[in-house]
Amino acid sequence: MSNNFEHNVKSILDDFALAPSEAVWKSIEPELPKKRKRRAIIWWLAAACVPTILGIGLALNSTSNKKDKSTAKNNVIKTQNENKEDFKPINTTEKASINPKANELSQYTDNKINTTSNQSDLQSILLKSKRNKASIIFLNKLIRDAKKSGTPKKVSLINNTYKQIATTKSIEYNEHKRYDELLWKDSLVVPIPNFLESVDTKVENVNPSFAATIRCLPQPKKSWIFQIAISGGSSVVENRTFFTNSNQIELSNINTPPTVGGGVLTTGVTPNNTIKYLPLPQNGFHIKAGLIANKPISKKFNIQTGALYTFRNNKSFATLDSVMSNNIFTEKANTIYQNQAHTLEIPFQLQTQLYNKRQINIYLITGASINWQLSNTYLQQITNTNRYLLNSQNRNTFLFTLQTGVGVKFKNVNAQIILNKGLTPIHQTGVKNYFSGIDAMVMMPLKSIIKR
Amino acid sequence: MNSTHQLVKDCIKNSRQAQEALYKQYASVMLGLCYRYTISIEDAEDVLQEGFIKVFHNIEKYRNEGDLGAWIRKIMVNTALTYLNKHNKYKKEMQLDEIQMHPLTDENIEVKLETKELIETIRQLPAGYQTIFNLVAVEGFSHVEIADLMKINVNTVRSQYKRARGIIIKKLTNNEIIHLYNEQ
Repeated sequence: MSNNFEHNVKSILDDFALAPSEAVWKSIEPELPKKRKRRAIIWWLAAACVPTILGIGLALNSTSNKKDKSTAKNNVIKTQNENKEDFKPINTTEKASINPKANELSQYTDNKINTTSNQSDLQSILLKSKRNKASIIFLNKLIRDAKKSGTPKKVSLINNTYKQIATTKSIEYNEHKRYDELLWKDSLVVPIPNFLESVDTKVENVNPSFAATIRCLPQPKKSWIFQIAISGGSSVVENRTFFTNSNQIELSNINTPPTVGGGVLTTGVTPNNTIKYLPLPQNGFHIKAGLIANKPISKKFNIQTGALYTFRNNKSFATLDSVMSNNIFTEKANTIYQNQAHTLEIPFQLQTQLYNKRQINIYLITGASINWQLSNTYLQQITNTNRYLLNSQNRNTFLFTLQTGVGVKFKNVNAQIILNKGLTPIHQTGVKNYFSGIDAMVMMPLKSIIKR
Repeated sequence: MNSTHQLVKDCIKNSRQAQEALYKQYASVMLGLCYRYTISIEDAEDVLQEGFIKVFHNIEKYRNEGDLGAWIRKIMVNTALTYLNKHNKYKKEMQLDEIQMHPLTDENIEVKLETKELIETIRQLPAGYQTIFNLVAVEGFSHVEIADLMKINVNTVRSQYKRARGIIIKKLTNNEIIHLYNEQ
């Protein structure tokens, strides 16, 4: 009995056939290997002709060289212009005249795309359309329609992503495990390889060849993202070396913490090596503002540079009154000097992605910066007052700083905490100041700020 | 040189005409096969599309030994299995041990009543049971081969096939499609 059942089932179902829709062959065709060119004998003939062609070519080369170059140059320029035209953003009011395809797409709304014949028409339009903004807006609509019918969270996440990119023209690129966000640059649409895989069945009921069409589109180049940055933080002045008029003495043994106006510094050095300046390792503050440029160089790494104007204010050091008593040479802190600096900072950072999911991106920062000190002023505090006198100025010195830290990016907003360590000091009479500190920076894309 | 051989030869040369002819010759039967493994005609067409792309990319490997249709069928079955394991809506059901029949979409395919009943009953099974039943009863794979193909235990194949078979027979009996298992 059992064998009969299997036998009967097989005989019914073996020949069971269904007619596929026309769209299936239309989607298979583009994926097929291209027709081979003739081989073997053609190559032999070509090889035989090569010396002849070369000889003729060399003879002609000297006379036509200049002409060839200019032609090639014109061709290159033409191609570049053509590409630019293809990817020109479409102004919605000019849709009809610039790109009729946008109008054609607009009729495929809501229920119309549910029929197979409409889907195959749509697919051929998208194949011909030059992969423009209309396509991404259409995709966006598709997701939105699916969302209306109560589909799960993942569809809404894709919807939000598409919406964000379509409306804000973000040029971020992030790769998720399940689906890719689009990289949007000059209206170029980027495919999502497994676009429909994680999406609700209602959206998957759209002809899958539609997804295959989108998969054929090329990946865009990763480009620079410009951001406005502001930051603030604390600066610490490390005063490591102190000069006298004639000798250089390094202070490494401080017996008691020095305080202004009452502290002492016992050094045990002879009066000939008079120490004039006392370090005050007090914190100051700094603020920065400027432009940052960020570029992804691979899935995990980004590079960042920019230009930041920095204002730094620190209490730097104090002069000392020297006193000799019982063969012990002591100094008393007297006048406080305050340091203010205006700097142009050019940072260079390498960012390593540690976590990247659901629009949250956490990364490690390593780098360095060049600081061009536009001016560095020392102000002398008048004793027992809060008034300062300009003591000295210097400018146009270069400082180098090491940077390390961590950053978080959520949607378009970037926040970083960076530790800076000065590698080169600022020289001032009597002191070498090394500036270090901690910096908290916030960055926002330039385009989103301009748009607002 | 018979026509199938010539057709294959032209397909190897990537003649578009030959490829289209081959597709037209086998597409309907293969779509029927894909339909048995999926829950919607759209999914079936998706599998069909991927399967034929593989066929044309690997046509050189067909050595004119055995039936071309059988060779294409093998590719199509493998494509269907890959598809089921790749897509989330089937993935869970592939590992399901309990039988929970799922409703089908209202697809008005034009076939004989008993064929329709049989196919719909098979397609209502969870994806894992459906696949095993198709592979045993229709494709003729052995339990050991299926266990190897689906990376599951051979006892699982046996028990799931037995249960699927039982449910199908019961449903067909209730619908009075009983001659399928009568001795002839």
